[in-house]
Amino acid sequence: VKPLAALSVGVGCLTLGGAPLQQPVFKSGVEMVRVDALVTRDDTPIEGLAAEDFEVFDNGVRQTIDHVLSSEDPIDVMLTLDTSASLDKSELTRLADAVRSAVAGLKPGDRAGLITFSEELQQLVPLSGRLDLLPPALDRLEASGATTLVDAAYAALLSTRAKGRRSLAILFTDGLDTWSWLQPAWVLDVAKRSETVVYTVELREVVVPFVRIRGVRGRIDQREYYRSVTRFLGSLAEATGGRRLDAGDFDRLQTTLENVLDEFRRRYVIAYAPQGVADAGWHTLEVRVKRRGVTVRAKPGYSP
Amino acid sequence: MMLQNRRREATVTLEAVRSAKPSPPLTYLACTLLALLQHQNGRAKEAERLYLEALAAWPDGQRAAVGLSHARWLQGQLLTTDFLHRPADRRPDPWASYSLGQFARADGSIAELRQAVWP
Repeated sequence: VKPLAALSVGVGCLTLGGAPLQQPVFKSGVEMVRVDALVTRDDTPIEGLAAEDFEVFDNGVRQTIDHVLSSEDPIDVMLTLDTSASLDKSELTRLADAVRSAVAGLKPGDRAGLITFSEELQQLVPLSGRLDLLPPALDRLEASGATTLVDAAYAALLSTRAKGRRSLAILFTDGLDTWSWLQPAWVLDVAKRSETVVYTVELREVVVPFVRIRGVRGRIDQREYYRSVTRFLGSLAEATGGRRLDAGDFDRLQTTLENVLDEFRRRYVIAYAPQGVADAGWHTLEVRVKRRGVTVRAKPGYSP
Repeated sequence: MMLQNRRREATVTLEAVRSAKPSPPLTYLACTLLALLQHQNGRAKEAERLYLEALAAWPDGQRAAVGLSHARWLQGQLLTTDFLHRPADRRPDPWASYSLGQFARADGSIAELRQAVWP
């Protein structure tokens, strides 16, 4: 929602301190690690790279790359759209039009799904190859209620877990989370362990509102909560090797979405069987390209 | 009390509500908030149990379902996105009326405010 609405409804957000979150329980041992990487020069993706152009370091140990997948492979896209009350009817129509045009560029073999979030999360189209289901679902979008952005990110990550496929979650929002149950740090932890790449697309700069709640014993300052959810989008993109994009306004939204899909196709998936590193625990990742003047975006680590 | 980090007092109060076996919406609220306190303290199994109790009282409560999913994720369980499938005849999550005082449903007021600020 826009800052004003966020200010109005933000009292619902519970921001508790408390003990560090319990470490998730996962089986250790990984046969193959897949790292999705974007290589750019002057912000333009570089194509045509092969395995010998890359170097991957797992916990600082150089790995032997098994193979590199590139743009020929089909993709999975989970469109995750903010339909909170801050979008008026014409904005909602423009959002639907922009998404409809962007997904028209998906190819045979690609799969897509649609989740909307306001005060409620809804999967309007499950992830599938039935791309024809998207346009009618976009026609039915309705705006209402608060914004559960953090919960929606969690839903998107859970909905794109098909092994061996390249997964992209596009998270569109026009404002600030006001109503999520899950805390940003929790969902970032899920993101770090996911193979899904998240691109966040915002419409305008989010202003952290000044919110205080008068309580029985003094006041509670909610600004830190809003700061954390504002940082959340950038952290989410970074944790998954994606990008945080500002579309600016609805006029640029369609182009921004098309660029996201185009850029995602031009990324590489680098696969290797980890060698010389422990099975368990957090693994830091570093991807290098043997070219000058390039920038590599990839997730900073993984957990088996 | 939760917002003020008075966890112990919050727990005692919420447990009193829960044990009184009030109406389903209040049971749901007491259990989800108790679950959140456990969730925040890193006690995922206990949080899971309370989220399930909340959902038994109010099966359409999505906030509890989302919390349950994450509490299970913490325990390494196979995840589903059941909470995304919303029946057409669902009842609103009691959390909506508790935290927002039905503000979220005041679409007319939102439109009026929007017009006042961004004419």
